[in-house]
Amino acid sequence: MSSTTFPARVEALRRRKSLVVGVVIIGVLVVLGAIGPFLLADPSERVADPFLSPSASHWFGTDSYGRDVFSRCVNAIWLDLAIGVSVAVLAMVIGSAIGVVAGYLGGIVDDVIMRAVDILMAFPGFVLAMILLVSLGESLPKLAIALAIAQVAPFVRLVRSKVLSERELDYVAAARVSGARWPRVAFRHLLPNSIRPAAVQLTLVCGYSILNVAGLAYLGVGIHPPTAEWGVMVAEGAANMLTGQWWTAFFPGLMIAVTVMALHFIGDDLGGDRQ
Amino acid sequence: MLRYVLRRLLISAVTVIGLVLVTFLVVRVLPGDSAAARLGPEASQADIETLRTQLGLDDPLPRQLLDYSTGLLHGDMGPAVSTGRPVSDELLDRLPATIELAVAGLVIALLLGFPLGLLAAARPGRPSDALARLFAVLGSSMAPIWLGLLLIFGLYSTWQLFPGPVGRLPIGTPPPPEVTGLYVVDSLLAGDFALAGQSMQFLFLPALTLGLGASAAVLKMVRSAVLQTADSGFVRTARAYGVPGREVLLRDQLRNAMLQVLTAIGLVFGFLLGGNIIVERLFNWPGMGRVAYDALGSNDLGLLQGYALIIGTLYILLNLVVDLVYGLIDPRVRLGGSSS
Repeated sequence: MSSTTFPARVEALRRRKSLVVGVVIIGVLVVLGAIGPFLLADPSERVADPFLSPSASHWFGTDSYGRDVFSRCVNAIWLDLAIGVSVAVLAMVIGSAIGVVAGYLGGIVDDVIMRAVDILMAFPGFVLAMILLVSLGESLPKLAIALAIAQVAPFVRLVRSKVLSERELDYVAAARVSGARWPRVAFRHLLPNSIRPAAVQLTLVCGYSILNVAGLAYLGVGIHPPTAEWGVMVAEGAANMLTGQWWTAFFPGLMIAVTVMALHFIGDDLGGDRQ
Repeated sequence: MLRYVLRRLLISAVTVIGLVLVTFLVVRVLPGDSAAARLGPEASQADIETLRTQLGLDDPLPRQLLDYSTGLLHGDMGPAVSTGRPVSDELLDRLPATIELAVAGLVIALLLGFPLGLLAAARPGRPSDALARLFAVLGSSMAPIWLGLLLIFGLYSTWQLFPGPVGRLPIGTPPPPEVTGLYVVDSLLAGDFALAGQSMQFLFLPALTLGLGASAAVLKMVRSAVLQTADSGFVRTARAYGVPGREVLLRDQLRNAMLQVLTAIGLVFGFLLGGNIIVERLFNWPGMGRVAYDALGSNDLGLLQGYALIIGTLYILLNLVVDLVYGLIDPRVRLGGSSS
């Protein structure tokens, strides 16, 4: 890999269009989210009349309080990406650990864990996250935890099934005969070799979580106004859609769609789903 | 076959019991106090205590679980604190509206996702494939609430093609005489075709909102199922005999991929049930999701618990049926025994 020439690498990337598109979009968003807040109007301040339609001075128009929708969208970038990434990482860490243990130990442990996973899968993820959030009480970390628990099951399944084939290989036997105990074999040897399928899921879950946050915000749980967050903004703007001020909900929803799409593109590529 | 059916039934029963346990634990054991939540921050400690005793929240946990599960066996989920009516009545009254919406959404998802998935798989890597997959990515990247708003804005506010988000029928129109609770079916049974047409018009936008998102999942599953058959022996043999590609695709590959579509229906239905709470609120659709939304507003954890339990049970039942049909069609499944 490291010995390939630069033109060869460019050529390789040219064939991985969806990865490039996805990474570029996310990269632009991250940069915009980093510098935007210093250049744009305060997202929580009234800067103009309410409900101005998109124009040169207010690209995405203004909302019902006269706040600048573009500035609010840009300010929300880091928050939304942070939620998406932390939920995905949390779900992956928990799910892979459980999956490795289930796959490596097998037997009763495996049976019990897989039944528990079936039960988790019986809830639509969104409903599970909603119930958990209401019972836990609301805060940003709890939101991330509730969303992560709702997404743990697929990670367990993916990692477990990889471990089932991986554990028959020689390096595992070698580790075992060298005297390593099972946690060491499972976490030091098997886990790094079984985590790849979970990487694809990681990008997808990151996207789902941003969508789920939006859905929860519309139901009035999770993140609340006046926080500048895309889902909250769509929820706040929902009523204006019928009265004609489409831009208040349209642009934040577009940000969500573009972000989640970019994550899907990256996931498709990592999943070996390229042309 | 009997062994397979029994095994599947047993697994489903265990899962339902687990579901009851999990919903119970989530609502009763997690730090939230449903009595305090119900009465709001102004309530005095004494009021909270009284309500706690009334609801049986002070009993020891195993006792509570026993009471709850005996109640469940009699179809009793306890009273809904916010309305006073039994939880089961609150939810089951609305079940037909939710089923009607979910089934309509499923039909739209299949009508869109199935042909597009086939089109994509017919020429993998070609422009038709790329377009279909772009559609799939777009469909799964839009927040349901946003998609619904766009549809309302375009098809109702701007072009007036479909009725606005006011529920299942125009305000003031009496529903058809109740047989199944599905308005489209009931009005057809009553011979009222105008009413059937009207309910279908009202059904269309919410169903499309649900169906568009779900069609992306169907598309992906159909595409990969058909592509998987492309490497198999029977396809190579058919090709070697000189059968035209299109015929192989439609006759052999599709038929073998049909099994996957069953699985897709099971998965997508879960998606539809989970998404309905948002869509039902957006379109004022009086289904179970709407009840759950109101329960969220009034902090009625018991009602939410019932909602999660019914949705989860429906999902398990549906997947049980899918698995049984699967076993009926494909001998490999019922004879293969345990795959998990």
